[in-house]
Amino acid sequence: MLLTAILLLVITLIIGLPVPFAFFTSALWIIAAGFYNPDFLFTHGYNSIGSIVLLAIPLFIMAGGLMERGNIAESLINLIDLFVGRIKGGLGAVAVVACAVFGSITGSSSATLTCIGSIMFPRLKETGYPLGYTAALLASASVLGILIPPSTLMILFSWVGGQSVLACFLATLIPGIILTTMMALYNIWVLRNNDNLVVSEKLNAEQFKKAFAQRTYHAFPALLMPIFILGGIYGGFVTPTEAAAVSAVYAIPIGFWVYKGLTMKNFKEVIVESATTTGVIMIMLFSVMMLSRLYIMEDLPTKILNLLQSVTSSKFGILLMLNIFMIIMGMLMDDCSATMLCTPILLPIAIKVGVHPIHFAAILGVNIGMGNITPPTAPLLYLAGRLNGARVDQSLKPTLQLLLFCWLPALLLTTYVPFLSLALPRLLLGIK
Amino acid sequence: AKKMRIRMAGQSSVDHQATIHQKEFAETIGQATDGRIEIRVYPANQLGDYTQVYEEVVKGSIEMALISVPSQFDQRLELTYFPYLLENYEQVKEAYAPGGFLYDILEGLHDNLGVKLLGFNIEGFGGFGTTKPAEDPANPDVKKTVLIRVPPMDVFKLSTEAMGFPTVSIPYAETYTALQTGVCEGWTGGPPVLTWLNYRDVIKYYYQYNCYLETESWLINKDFWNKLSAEDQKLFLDTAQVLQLKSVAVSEKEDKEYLTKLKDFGMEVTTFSSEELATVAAKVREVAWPKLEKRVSPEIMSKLREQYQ
Amino acid sequence: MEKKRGGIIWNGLLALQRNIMFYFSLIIAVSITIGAMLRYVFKTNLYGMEEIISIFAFWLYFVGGAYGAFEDSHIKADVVSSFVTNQKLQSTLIAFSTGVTAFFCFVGIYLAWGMLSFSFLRGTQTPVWRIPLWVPQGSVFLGFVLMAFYFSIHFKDHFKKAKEIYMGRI
Ligand code: NA
Ligand code: NA
Repeated sequence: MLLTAILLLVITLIIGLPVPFAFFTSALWIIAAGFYNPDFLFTHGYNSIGSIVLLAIPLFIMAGGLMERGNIAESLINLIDLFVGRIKGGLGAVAVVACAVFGSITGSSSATLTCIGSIMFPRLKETGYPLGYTAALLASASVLGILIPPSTLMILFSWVGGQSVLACFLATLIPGIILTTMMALYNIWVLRNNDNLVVSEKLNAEQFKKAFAQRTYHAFPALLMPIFILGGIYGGFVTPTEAAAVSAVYAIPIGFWVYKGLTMKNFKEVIVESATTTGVIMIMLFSVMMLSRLYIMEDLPTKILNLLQSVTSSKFGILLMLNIFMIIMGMLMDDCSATMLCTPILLPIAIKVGVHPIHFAAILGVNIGMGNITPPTAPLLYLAGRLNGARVDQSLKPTLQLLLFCWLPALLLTTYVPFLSLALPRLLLGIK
Repeated sequence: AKKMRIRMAGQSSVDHQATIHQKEFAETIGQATDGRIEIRVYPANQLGDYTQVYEEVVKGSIEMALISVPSQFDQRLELTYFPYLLENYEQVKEAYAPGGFLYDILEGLHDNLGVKLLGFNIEGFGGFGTTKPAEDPANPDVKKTVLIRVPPMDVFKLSTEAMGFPTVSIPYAETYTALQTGVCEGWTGGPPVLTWLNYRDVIKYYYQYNCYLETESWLINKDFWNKLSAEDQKLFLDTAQVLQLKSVAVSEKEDKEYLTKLKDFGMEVTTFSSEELATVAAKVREVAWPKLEKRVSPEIMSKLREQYQ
Repeated sequence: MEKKRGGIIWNGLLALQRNIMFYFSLIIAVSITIGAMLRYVFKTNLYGMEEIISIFAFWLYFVGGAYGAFEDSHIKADVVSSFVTNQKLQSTLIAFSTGVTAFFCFVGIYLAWGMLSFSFLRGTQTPVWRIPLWVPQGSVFLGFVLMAFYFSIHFKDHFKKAKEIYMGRI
């Protein structure tokens, strides 16, 4: 029955059912085959998404949207450009670092991509970067939006897995920084022989100082945001949900009057857009919660663990297989759905083989974050294509190269070096 | 006879006594019926939180549960969270036993909703865990500055305020984080064992106020119950009662044991003399109880008052 | 959408949804911000506020989800549109999956109605303000009604298109 349910899930996903309805189909199959009374399904879904903790997600999405329309990113990019813009391939590196910095403001990767992408794609095109490559690079870098805290993905994980949000936020920070470095360096290395690229002019010390002062001044209100959000959360002024609300509210006057990107018209537009995204995510959570409840009742985690243990009994091997499992999930669905489905099933297994839950948070974050750019379900890759006009087949090869040279090494490091994810939570939060 | 499968939901962590008792319940029934009745335990909110599980027990999609009691169906059920209902384990043994006044009131309330109450799992007397010291904790008239997190329910808010503490309502899921960062400075309700299991890394002071008795209730869907044979019914009731008595003993032991553990862990633990506790309890009954009357109904309130004449 | 649809009801419904999404988002963000500030200043919060916020949140979620159905922007694995090049097969699969989706929305209406009528008959309420639970739960029901409506219309459009492809008109 479970096998059919999973098969049904895969088939419905592939023929193009919206993700929530693929979950729903699979859930109804288990209901029918197991002679369950379906009455509890909606009650369970309803109760699951009622948590106020989850409200952080729509609020972070809204904040991200407001900052995107409010031109907040432009000032950040200009400042970063001052430092890395003059090396060959530097502009690509600027885009990567900008995604990381923007990631410390927003909790979502699609907000990061639309925001940084809408500014960087035209600039990259002007300077001669291949379309497919830039789509792949920015799609990949925008995942930093969920690896650098705050992170909607980690909110979901901590909520389902009963872990501290703060610790989960910190867990993916070092892996995120490693990935930022790797992608920026990889970009420069790939483009080292490309002679079409234009490089911005060198400034002398005097000019640099002046530009630095100017651009920092202009970026200041935007630079305040991560301080507000992360400082507010870790300083004990606000809960993560409140931080999300505060940052959305803060972005409104800043967008209207400081960066002047917001108008009454696009203000309403962007709120409606983020509310739609929110609705789409919440309907998905609603249905995935029903499905995972049935998986629990059918004891899927134990069955998977037994299966894994019949293949290998070493922690090393099981971790490898958990990774493969999540990569497959990441190919089939978006990051939120995959997190919601994998956490209740895989976290107990990870704990049973002796993995620290916060370490697992980082493994899951990197792995499922990567899932956003692994085809066939690669929402960020498609979004990047829509933004800069690259076709999927153009961005496919550079994406695979990025996966191979940046993501897989980072995933292996995160998986097999627990120190990377546990050091900060231990240092700052006293996690044992 | 036909084989019967029962799903029993729980909320406590796997190593908590409640879950251990659930497994014992399942085992006892399984052995006594030679496997004719098979009970599968889902601990740790696996099937949803107590609010939802209760609703499902009403509907019958979950047959049995050992959970805290939510009040969405009937606010009188908030009685289970009433502050200073009882002050010591002698009173607990009496009031919560079948025929005891609390058992009788609660059994009737559940019955109205289509749920049969089989008994209670007693899990310790609660206190306050805080991150900074409380001013003159034994005197409820002294205004304190320690901001206490309460669940969003009048019983907790009013009684905590009657004890002299400012309150803030924060959802349970955010409490740990809020304590960690200082959004709030303490939480109310948990006995030493819960403070140890869930909060020992963030709590620095513990005050054993005995203000709440942590209980979970053994519940079973009434239609399902009525279908059981008289023998099976007796078996279920007896098993729940054996475990209830055991839970009282376990709680008494654990309250002491975990207080020591908290102390050894480096926490500053304050306990109170029975006179001091009586002063605090009297204050709460005087200030908070009248305001709670509309929640639990005048009839129940007068039954409570009778206990303290 | 394939073609523009008009009419007061059609447009009015969409405008109503947009307004709910807009105002509810703002209400939620602003009231949480105010709540946080109040706690900081007065060392207490608006007691029971999260109960009211979560009602707004449910309506935001399900009206937003329905709007996503109207836009057809629910997350999908883009296998069919990106990797299937045969026009006939592609249009058939799209029509089929939209039809299945619409069908499950109707199943959803049935289940949501079950939940809603249960709360209504049992008079279940929230813990602090004793607000009837059918108030937030109505959003689930209405959300599925709207999704069923929009997906049915998408199905009709895709079905027509597939038919025309088979008949060689496109
Ligand atoms: Na982020
Ligand atoms: Na993917």
